[in-house]
Amino acid sequence: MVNRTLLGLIRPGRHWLALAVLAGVLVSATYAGQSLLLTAAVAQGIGGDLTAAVLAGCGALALVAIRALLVWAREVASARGAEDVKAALRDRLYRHLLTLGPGYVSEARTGGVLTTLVDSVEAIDRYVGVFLPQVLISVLGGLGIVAVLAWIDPAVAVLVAVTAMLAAAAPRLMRRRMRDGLTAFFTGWKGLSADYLDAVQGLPTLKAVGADERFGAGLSAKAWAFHRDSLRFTVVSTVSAGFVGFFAALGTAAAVGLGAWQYASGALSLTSVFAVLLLSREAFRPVTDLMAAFHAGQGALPAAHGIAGLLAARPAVADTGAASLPGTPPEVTFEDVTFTYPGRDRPALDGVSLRLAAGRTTAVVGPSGAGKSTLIRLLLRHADPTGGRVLFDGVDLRDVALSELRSNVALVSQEVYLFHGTVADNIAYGRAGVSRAEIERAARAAHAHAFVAELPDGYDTMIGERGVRLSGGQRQRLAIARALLADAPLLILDEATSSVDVAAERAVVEALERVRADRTVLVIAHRLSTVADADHVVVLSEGQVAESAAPGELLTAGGAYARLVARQQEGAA
Amino acid sequence: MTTAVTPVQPESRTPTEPASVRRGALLSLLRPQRGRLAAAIGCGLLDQGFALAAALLGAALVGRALNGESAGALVPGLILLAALVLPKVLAAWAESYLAHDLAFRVLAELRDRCYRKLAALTPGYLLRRRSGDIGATAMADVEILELFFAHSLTPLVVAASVPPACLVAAFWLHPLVGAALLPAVVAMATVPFWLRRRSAAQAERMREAAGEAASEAVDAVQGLSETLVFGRQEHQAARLNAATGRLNRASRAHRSRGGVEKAAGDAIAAVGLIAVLLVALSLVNTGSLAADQVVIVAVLGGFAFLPLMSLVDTWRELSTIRAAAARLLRILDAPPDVVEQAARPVARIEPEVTFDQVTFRYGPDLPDAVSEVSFTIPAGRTVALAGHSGAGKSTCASLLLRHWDASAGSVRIGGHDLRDLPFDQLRSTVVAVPQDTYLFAMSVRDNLRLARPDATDAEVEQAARTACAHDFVTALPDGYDTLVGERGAHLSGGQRQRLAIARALLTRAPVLVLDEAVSNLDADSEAAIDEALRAAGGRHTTLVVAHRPSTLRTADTVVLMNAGRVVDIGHHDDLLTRSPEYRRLLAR
Repeated sequence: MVNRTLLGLIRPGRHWLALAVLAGVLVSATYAGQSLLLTAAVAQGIGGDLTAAVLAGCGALALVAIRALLVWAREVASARGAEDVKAALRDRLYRHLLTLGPGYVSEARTGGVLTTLVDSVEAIDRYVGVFLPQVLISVLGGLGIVAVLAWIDPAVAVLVAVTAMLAAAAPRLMRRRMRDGLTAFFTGWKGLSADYLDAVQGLPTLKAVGADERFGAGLSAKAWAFHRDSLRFTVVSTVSAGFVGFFAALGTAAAVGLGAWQYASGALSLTSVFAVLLLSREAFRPVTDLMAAFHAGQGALPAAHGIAGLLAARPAVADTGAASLPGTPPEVTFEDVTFTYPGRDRPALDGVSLRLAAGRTTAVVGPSGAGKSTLIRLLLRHADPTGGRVLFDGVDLRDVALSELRSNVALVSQEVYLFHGTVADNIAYGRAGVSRAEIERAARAAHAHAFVAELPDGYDTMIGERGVRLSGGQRQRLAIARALLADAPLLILDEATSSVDVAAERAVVEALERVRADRTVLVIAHRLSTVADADHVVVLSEGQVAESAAPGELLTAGGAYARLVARQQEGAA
Repeated sequence: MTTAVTPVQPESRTPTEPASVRRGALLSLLRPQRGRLAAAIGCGLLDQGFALAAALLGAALVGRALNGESAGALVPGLILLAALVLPKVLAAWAESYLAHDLAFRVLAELRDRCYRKLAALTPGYLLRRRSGDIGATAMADVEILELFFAHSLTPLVVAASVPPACLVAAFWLHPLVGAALLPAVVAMATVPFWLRRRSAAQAERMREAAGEAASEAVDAVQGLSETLVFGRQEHQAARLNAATGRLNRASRAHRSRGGVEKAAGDAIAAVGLIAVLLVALSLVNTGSLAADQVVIVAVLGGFAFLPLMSLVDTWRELSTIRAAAARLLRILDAPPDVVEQAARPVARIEPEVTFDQVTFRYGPDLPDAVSEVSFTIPAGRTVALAGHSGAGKSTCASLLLRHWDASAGSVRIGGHDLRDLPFDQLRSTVVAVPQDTYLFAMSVRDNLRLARPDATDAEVEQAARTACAHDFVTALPDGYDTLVGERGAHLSGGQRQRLAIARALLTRAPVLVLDEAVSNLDADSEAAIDEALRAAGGRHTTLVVAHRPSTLRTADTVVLMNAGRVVDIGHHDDLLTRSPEYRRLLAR
C-alpha cells in the first residue's frame, strides 16, 4: 500500500532513504552470501576437508561483521531520512496553516489541527523510514535470492518465487477490508482523543454540576467501542499477516521437501540440497520483513489523510493584493458591508456602513451577538465580506497584500494569548529586535511595569502555558505593551477590559489613553467606561448600525446608547 | 482575579512522585485477564512448537534422503510436513488475536481508571498540570502500553521456553553441540540489558523533547492569530523547527542505540549458527556425529535465536514503555485533595451555609490563603464576597464546593460539616457557575442537560429563559439542537456564561456559587440575569464572588475580604458609609 500523498513527501529525506535502501539490499546480499558459504562449509566438512570448512566459516563470520555494520547503518539512515521528511513536513504544514489563518483553526477544532501537526507527522515516521525503503529492498533482495536459487535448482526457485508472490499478494486481496479497518481504528482514535481532551478540560465544569460520573460512563462506553474497533482491525490485519505466514511456511516446507525429494531421486547434489535448505528461508525474509514493516508503518495511512486534507485546504481569503499602505494612521471605511457565516442563515453584519476617522478613536458598542467581533474579523481579513467593501485609506482590503495589512494593524484581543517564554519575550513579540529598555518603556506605558517587577524573576519570569499564571488584567496589560511595541498605525482593542476587575480596569484604561495618541483606534466594548472618551461611537444591534455620533451627542439624543449608559450607571450606583 | 489565588508556583505543590514504575501496578491490571493471557501464551508456544516440529521434520527428511532413502519413502513425511503448516498458522493467528483482545481490554480499563482518577483529582491537580499533557497521557501513553500487553508477554514466555528446549535438544544430540550453542544464546538474552541505563536516559530525554515539541506546536497553533498580527511567522516557524530539531537529535541517539542492539542481535545469532555448524562438522569428521544430523543441528541453531531476536526487537521499546507507564502511574497514584468520608446521606439539609473560623493554605510551604474566616449565609439569601485580587474570595468559593478541605475550622451546610456529606449529596446540594465556562462539543440542549439528563425539553427551556439565554438560543440555526464548537467557539462570552447559568439552575441544587459569573456580560444582559437570579433567589442560597458594584449592591450581605481575612460584613450601603477600604475598592 504505497500511498501517493506520503510518497510525495519524501523528497527532503531522499538521500538518507536511498542510503537505507542500499544498506538494506547489501544486508540481503550478505544473508545470501552467508547461506552459500555455510553450504560450502557443510559440503567440505562432510566431505572430510575440515580446513576448507573452517575457512568458509570464517568467510561467513566476516560477512556477519560487515552485516552488523550495515544493519546499524540502515537503521540510522532510515531514522535520519524520516527525520528530515518529518521536519520539512511540519514546517510546511505550519506555514500553510499561517496562510489559512485563525479562521481555519477555530473551524477545524484546535485539537484536530494539533493532531495533524504533531501526531500525524510523527505517525509517518516508520512508514517513511522503514516501510518505503523496505518495498525496494524486498523487491531487489527477493529477486536476487530467487536468482541465486534458480542457478542452483530451477525447480525450487520457481516454487519459492510462486509462493513468495502469493504471500506478497495475499494482503492485497484484503486491501479494502484492511483500509476500512484502519480508517475505523483511526477515526475512533481521533474521536476518543478529542473526547478525552474535552473531558479533561471540562472536568471542573462537569464536577461543578455533578455530571462527572455520567460523563465518565459515556466516555467509558466510547473507550470500549474503541476496543471493538481496535480488535476488528487487528483481526483483519492478523488474518492478512496469517496468509503471509502461511505461504511463507508452506513455501519453505515445500522447498525443503522438494529438495529432499530431488536428492533422493538423484536430481540434486548434497551441496545443493543444503543450499536450498538455507536459501529458501532467506527467500521469504523479504516478504515477512515487508509485512512487518507495513505493520509498523500502517499508522501513517490515516495520518496521510489528515495531512493531505490540511495541505489541500484553501485560505478563506486570497492573498493576491499588491497595493502598499503609507504607514500613517489610516482612515478605515466599511461600505455597506454584509457578512454571513458559512452555514448560518442570518447575516452577522447586514449592510453596515461606518468610518473610522484617521488618528481618532472610534468605539463600537452593542449587546453580545450584535456583530462587533465580526467587524474585527473582516478588518483583519480572516474573511472577506459577502457583500460591500472594507477600505483602508480608500484602498479595498482585497487589493492589499496580507503581510502589508498585518504590519499596519495591532490587536489587543479579548482572549490574550501569551506564548511560553519570559515576560520580556512576550512583550517583544510585538516587534523583532527590540532592546530591553524599549520593552520596559512599553511595559511602563501599559501600566505593567509595577506588577512585572514583583514577579519572581521580573522580566525574565517564565509565563505562558507552562509558566506562572497571570490574572486577566495582567495578561491584558502585557498584550497592550506588546501592541505598543508593534507601533502599528491602526490599533484594535477587542473588549480589552472585559475580564478585569474595577481596580485593574482603571489601570488598563489609563494605559490605553496613552496608546491612542497618533493612531486610528477601534475599540470594541461591553463596558462603557472605555468608550466615554472615544471621539465617535457606533452602536451595533443585530448586525446593523443603530446609532453613530460623538458620545455626547448620543447621550443627549436619548437613543440606544443613552439607555445602555443609564443601565450601567444604575448598576454601578 | 480568581486566577491570582492559584499558587504562583504550581509545581511546588506536587508531591515527590515515584520515578520508577511499580511493576506490580501494570501486572495487576492483567489479573482479570488471566484466562486470555494463559490462552495467548499457550497459542504462542504452540505456534513455535509447530514451527520447530516442521523444521525438524524437514531436517529429518533431508537427513533420510542423505542416507539414501528413495523418494517414494519420503512422501508420507512430506505430507505431514505440509499438514503441520496449517496448525502453525492458526496458532500464530490465535495468539495474536488473544493478545490484542487482552491488551485492548486493559487499555479501555486503564483509560476509564485514568478519567475517574482525574475526576477525583479535579480541580487541584489540573491546576498543576497542563490540560494537553494530561490528554496526551490518557490517550497516547495508554496506547504505548499496547506494546507491552500485546507484544511482549507471549514473546517473553516463548523466549524463555523455546531456546532452552533447543539447547536441551542440542545437548542431547551431542554435549559439544550444546556447548557450542550455549554462549551465543546467553549472550543474546543479555542484549537488552547492555545499554539499559543509556536507553533509559535516552527515553527520558526523548520524552522531554517530545513534550516540548508538542507544547511548541500548541503555542504555534493557539497563538496563530497573534503571530499573524505581529508578523512573526518566521520567528515562530524557527521556534517550531528548533523544537523539532531537539526532538530529532534526542531520537537519533535512541535510534542509533537501537541499531546497535539490532546489529548485535543479528550478529550473535549468525555467529552462534556458524559456531554450532563448525563444531558439528568437526564431530562428523571424528565420527561422533552422523552426517545427516548436521541438518538438524542447523535447524536447532536457527530456531534457538528466533524468539530471542523478536524479544530483543520488542524490548528495544521497553524504555519507551516504561516511561509511558511512569507518566500514567503519576496520575493514578496521585493522592486526591479530598476524600469521601461519609457513606450515608444526611436526611434533610437546610440550605444555610456557615464558614466557621476557616483557615486554608494551598501547600505546607505557602502562606494562608484564607485565615479564620467566619460568616453565615441564611437559607435563600445572597452573600457577595468583595476584595482585591488574592483576597481569598475564590478560595472561599472553592472550599464551599469542597475542592479542598479547610486546614482548620469548618464549612457547614445546614449544620453538617461538608466532610460528613457523601460526594453525591454534596454535589446535589451545591452547584457552581465557574469563571471559565466550558461548553462541550455537542448541542446546546445536551450541554444544558449535562446537569440533569432526565430534564424535559420544557425544563431545559425554562432554565434557559431564567438565565436569559432562550432568545439567543432560538435565534441559532438549529435552536437548541445547534452544535456549539470547541469551547463554545461559535458563541460569544456572554452567551456562554448565560448557558452556564442555565445549566446550574437546571440542577435544582439549593446552594449556588457564582464565581464572577457575570464579568463577560453587557449591561443589558447583566441586569436581566441579575433580575432572573433574584427571582429564582427565593429558592437559592447564593455565594457570589463579585467585582461589579451592581452585584454587590443587590446582595443581602457583603463580606469584605483582604489578604485572606474578613475585614467587614454588612450591606453594601452600610459598608459604603463606614468603610474607607470598601470605598477604595469600588474606586470612589
